[in-house]
Amino acid sequence: MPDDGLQARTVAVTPDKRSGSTLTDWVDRNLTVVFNVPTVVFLVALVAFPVGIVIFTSFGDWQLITNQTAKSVGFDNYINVWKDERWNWSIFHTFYYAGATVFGQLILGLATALLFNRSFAGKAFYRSIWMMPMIAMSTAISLVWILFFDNAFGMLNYVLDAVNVAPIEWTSSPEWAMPSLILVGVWHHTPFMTLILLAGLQSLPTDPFEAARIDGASRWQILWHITLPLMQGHIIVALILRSIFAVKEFDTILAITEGGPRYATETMNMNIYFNAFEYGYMGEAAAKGVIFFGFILLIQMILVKLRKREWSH
Amino acid sequence: MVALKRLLPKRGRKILEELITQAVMIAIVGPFFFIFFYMFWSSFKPDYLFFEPGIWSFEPIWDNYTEVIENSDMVRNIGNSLIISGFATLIGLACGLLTAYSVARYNLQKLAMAILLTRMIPYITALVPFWMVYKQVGLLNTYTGLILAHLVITIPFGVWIMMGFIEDIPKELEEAAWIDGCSKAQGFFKVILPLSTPGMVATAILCFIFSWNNFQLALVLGGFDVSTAPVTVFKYADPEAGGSGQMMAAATLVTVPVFFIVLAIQKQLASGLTMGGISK
Repeated sequence: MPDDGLQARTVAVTPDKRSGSTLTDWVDRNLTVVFNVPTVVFLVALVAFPVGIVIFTSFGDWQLITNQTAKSVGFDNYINVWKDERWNWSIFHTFYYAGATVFGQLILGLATALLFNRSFAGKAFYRSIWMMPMIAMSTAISLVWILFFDNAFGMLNYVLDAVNVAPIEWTSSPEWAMPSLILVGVWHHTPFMTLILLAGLQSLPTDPFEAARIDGASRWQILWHITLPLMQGHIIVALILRSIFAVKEFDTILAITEGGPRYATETMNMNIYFNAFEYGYMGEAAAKGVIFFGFILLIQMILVKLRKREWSH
Repeated sequence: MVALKRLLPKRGRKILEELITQAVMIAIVGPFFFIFFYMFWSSFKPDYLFFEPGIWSFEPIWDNYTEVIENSDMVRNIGNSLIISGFATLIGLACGLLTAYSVARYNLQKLAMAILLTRMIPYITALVPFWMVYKQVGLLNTYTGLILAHLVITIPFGVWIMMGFIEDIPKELEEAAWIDGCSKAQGFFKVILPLSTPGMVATAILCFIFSWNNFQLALVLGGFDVSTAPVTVFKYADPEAGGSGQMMAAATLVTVPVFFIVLAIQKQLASGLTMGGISK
């Protein structure tokens, strides 16, 4: 052995093989296997296996009401879904909703993260209040928003009336239904954005900031030329992570608009839900479910690519 | 404003800055908090007063709560939620702890990525096969079925949050235990387990909240016998269900207890949520 010191240390920090029974020895030798058996068994049974079934189902003509024994139809489901105009619109709605909520979250989240990165009186108090929306039950807060959006007796139109603005038909008009839901989405999930961006801000190196301060840079200059460029990677990661979340949004949309009026707020998630569990078109819903999962994996792949590029810098 | 700040002496400028920060903080946090304030306050409001949103002073009544508790399945479903989320959290935490430890200490990157991938799957995609299999084996509308489904939430989440907490425990402590004659498994149970208790508490609470809040799984897989609190709350979204006062009372019942837990341990939760958020 060329390096006796290293050898001695390796021996010293490995548990003594001779002590204990054979069972303990066996557990020690296969620790990574033994410790991961429960997780892997559960995740294979509860995620991998269902994914297999959903793919299998997507190639059959499963219909709960008329057709109990399904036969294979090849790629028919995957071809036919694109003829479904309601589904095509739901894809548009999904990305409209996700894009707009995540954009709103980014602006507000960045502003609040910058604020929470300073020290001021009562910071812990403000922060705990700020975190409340993200741990609130989505169906519960939807009820409050339903009352707020009410055309005649809602809080929002009451405030608009107080400042002499004409009332808006929030969730009952096709034009305003989606912006209303986006407002709820921004309210509900901006705190998450704040937390991710705040963690990013706190991990930035301090040297560039000190150098800029010594050079007499103003706060706006520091923000624009140092903080934001340094935060670029964190912002992209936060944007994509929140997008994946927003694309899957279901609870608030079902509770507040049920996808209406006239399907104007129906997202992919809801379209699949209605297809499978209201109309019973299991085969078609399975195909749509696979496509939906594909969209999410695509967003995830962009994230992995961007992260890799960042690491190589 | 800038000119005014220049004119002031340094201490005055500090005070002014603090005041501006406070004002901005209140302007941003205030409207966000108002939703909860409104929810709580109007849960004591008689229904006929909801026609005027600007009324803030009224004789508070308990009727909305008694109606919700007596005339809906709220109490039973809160019990169901406690059972389902409780078991899902316990199993998720146990699996999460063991996997997080082995991923953090033995650098099992592939396993970590696979678990991250399971977090990507939309519940609706999983619900189609879940429903079909459950119907075949009779797990629809049962505790076992819903607990198993909720493991899809708690296990990956538990692994990813626990990992951060375990990485914070110095490796030297375990190595010292090995030198003293502990096996690797003993080292884990005698050193890591006690030291990660605060992290486990935070992880358990977060897993519980996410499972408690989940609506879609119970909506599809639960039925009349086994349903959860979010589903009961959702039923009040129907205007025919019970009226505005009861809507707010139902919402308050399921939201306020969670806030007290969060206020009690908000510091650990912030770090846990950040880790969970990044892996989300």
